[in-house]
Amino acid sequence: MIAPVTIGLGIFYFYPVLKVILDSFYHVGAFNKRSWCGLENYQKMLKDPVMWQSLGNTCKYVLLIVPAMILIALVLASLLNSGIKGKSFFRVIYFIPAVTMGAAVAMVWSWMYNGNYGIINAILNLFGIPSQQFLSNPDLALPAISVVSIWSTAGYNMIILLAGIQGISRTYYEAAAIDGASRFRQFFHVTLPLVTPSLFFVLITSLISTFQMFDTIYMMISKSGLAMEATQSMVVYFYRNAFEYSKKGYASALAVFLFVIIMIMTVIQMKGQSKWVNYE
Amino acid sequence: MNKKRLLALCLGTAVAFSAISGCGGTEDGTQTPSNETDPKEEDNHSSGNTEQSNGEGTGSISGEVRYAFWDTLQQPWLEECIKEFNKIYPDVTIILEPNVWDEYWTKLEAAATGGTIADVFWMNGPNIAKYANGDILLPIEDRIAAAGIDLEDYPKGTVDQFDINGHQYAIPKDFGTINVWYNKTLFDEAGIAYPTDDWTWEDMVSMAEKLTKPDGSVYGIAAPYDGQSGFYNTVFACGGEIISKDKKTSGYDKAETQAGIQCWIDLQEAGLSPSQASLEETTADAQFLSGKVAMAWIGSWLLPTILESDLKDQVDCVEVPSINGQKGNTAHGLGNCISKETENPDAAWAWVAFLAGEKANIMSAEMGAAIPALKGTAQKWVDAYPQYHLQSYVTAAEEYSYEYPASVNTAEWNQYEADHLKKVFALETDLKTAADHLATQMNEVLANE
Amino acid sequence: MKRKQKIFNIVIYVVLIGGILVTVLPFVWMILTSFKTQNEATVIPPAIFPKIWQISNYGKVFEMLPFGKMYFNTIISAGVTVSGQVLLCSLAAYAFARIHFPGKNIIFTCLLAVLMVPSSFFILPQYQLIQKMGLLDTIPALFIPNLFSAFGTFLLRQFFMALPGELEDAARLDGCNHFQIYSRIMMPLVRSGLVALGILTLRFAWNDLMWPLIVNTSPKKMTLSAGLAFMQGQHITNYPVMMAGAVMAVLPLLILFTIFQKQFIEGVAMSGIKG
Repeated sequence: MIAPVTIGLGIFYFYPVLKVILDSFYHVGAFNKRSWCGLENYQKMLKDPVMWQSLGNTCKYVLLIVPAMILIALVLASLLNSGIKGKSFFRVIYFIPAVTMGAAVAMVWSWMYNGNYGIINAILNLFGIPSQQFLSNPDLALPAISVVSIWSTAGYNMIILLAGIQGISRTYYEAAAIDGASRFRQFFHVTLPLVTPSLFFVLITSLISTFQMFDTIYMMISKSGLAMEATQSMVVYFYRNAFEYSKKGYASALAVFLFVIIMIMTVIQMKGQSKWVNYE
Repeated sequence: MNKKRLLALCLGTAVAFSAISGCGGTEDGTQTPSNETDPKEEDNHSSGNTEQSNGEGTGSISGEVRYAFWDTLQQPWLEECIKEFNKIYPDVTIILEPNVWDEYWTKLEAAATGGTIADVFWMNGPNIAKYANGDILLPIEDRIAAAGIDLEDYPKGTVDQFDINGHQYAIPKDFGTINVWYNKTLFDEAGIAYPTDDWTWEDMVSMAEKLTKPDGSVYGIAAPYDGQSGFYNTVFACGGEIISKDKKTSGYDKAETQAGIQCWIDLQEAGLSPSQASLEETTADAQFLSGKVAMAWIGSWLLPTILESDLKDQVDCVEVPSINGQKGNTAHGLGNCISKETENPDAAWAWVAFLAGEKANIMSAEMGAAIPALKGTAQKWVDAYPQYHLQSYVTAAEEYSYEYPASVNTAEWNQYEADHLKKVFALETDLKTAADHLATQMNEVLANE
Repeated sequence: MKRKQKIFNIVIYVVLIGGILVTVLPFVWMILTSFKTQNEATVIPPAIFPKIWQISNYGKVFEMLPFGKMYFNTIISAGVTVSGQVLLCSLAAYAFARIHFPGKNIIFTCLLAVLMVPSSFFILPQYQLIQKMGLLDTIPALFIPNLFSAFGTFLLRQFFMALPGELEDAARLDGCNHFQIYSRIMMPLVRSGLVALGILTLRFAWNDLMWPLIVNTSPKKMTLSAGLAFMQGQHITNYPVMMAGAVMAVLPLLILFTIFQKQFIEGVAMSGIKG
């Protein structure tokens, strides 16, 4: 019974891990010509300023997106849980971006960001702010992409947090109410501590997915554009090396490096979780 | 799991093997005599309109030919070509596989590596060496000779560009040169005379100054980072070079080359052009055709876009201006290549030969698709649109054109060009530092070729 | 106190409605643009509503791209991925949760390890495997690697684990073998888990960009996602036509979501609790 999945995972997931590690010691050029090169890919990688910049960009994305997104999701979730009318309506609308194709989201937002005809610039102009080239100005492109990412993931994570909040037993709130705790106090002393398992889940998954940002950047930033270097994430840089520059060996080394970073990050998270996550 | 993989591997190698033995070089050579008649007949047809005798030879060729190309503007023309082609070869189905420039080379290489490359596809100067050396292309010199196609009838530079190590891999299809388009309405509003073919760079700058509106609604000219339609031309005019004749060294550290780039940077600095960032979001031609820019350097291949534009009656074109009395122009030709792994080399060749023929070239001219490569047909392209001064493109090709700079790994140093020079055009770094650094990196790439 | 409560509620509604506007406006703008002419779309300052609603933009998408084929490819690929993954993962998950066999723990640990590896890590060798199998640029290439999922197996295992053991014992006494227990008794009981996995997979399979972009190069074999990327690369960008394409690409999943919103939302919520 486990055969199909085990074999499938073996071929398409287990073998690739070994293959990537192996390939990272080769030069794999155009039309798959390969030659052994030892550690050269890794040496080159550590000296490659573009790699460091894309790693830096990736960190910037994480810092810009993850906290803001979680904060928004948490606020929305707790507001929705405060016994207001039309809860399910709000929930449905907020979830819509989560079922919308990333490529389409990127397309619409690029159109809204457009430096010459975009609606966002038109609104800025109303307030006397001159038009900005959001997606080709290296200083603005990264925050602009982050906004899109927050927009498209906040609703999804809000659902998970909401489920976590709803799972909190009523008795805690009743006890708090008897003690005369205000709603704010209830939030900080009951909701927040008890929703930490869900928060932890959201944190881990959004960290990993933000670390692997691809769709939005690929779709929104012009390929050899000015803003590319300032916005490309590790995964985009990996993709370009593997499939555009046909440097598959070097790309493999990048993949290994990315994997190591994500691993370290996850281990730190796991170790740290006992300090702040409450399992009832 | 091992068994499965083994099977897949065996299958893979078997396929590869059969493909190699199926259309290896020698076998092709021996096959040609029997097919010799077909392409010739096709040639007769294309020049001599539809006669009836398409029975004997041509009917025997059948099958599917996948045709990959990157310029969707040429699709209408290709669809017409297929109609004509099928009159001669009713049993050959041509399947068009359009792509976009940004993706074309990535996908072509992936397809070549994976054995799914189209049977016939577009090729250009910067990439031919890579594909020829990668053993992807079918040499066609024997078929060309057998079909009686005279390569002298095509621009020599383009023919030579597709000749690698003594093998001819493509027949030129069309070529492109650059000129300057201007918006007559904006010129009239500013009260200045239209440019003429003998204008100079200084004339262009002073016109741009008068055309630029202080509120930013109109810029005099577009000065984007662009090699082929931009600074390559002025670099040639200034006596510089992008790559040395022997393709061993970069020309970017030469003073002449840098002078040919600096004149564009001056336009950016003077505020006569939309910023590099703006031009990246909306290309120079698109800004020109929406009336935001009064003059733009535009390649001949964009004629279909101009013809479709709302401004088509308000614009005209002129030769590029001279710098210090000299003009330069990048002439760049495309060709049709056949994949070495095609299952149907005869049908693929029939299609290539048809596209090289007079009929296809004339149709290309009349539909405005591109300047056709066959001698004599370029004039038809000029004549087809008398409302524009299209002769300026042809004059450029004939009188002051230069070969498109390329080597084996062109794509690799093209990337460095973009990385460094875009920042210069965005006025973030100074030209000298960037260009010198670029030259060093480019020389490293060239040394490894 | 009452008054305070009221003000508090108003603030909540203002925030929530503000959030709704931010969520919905891009969609509104996408739809409005998709009915404009190119000139209307690029006029400054922008016109909110099209003067004449250009339905023809939607037709133009089909002229520019084999959009019908792309729909078909996406539906096939998403359909096979979802049903295949649910079937295969539930089989394995059942075995991991309910059957004792040698080497189980080792295999399961390996499976968990796969779960930890970022997905982009697999892409390159997966691509080379598909290439070796001669499947590049085919429809099966779109879904084959996605049939197998460590995450799906793990998620469903949690559901199977939660079921009481007495059920199995009773069934075994009645002479059922493992397959019968799995298909007749267990499967109906983990329905909510299957639905959750199905929905998560559907969301992924319909929207994924990188994989289809890599394996399939000709437009006729592309998914909608890759088709949109392709459309964006066209030389002259016709914004209204692009928006029309985007509207059509997102519509099917949005419609499904409107019908099955409860299942969608519960499915996602569940992945948070069980994962």
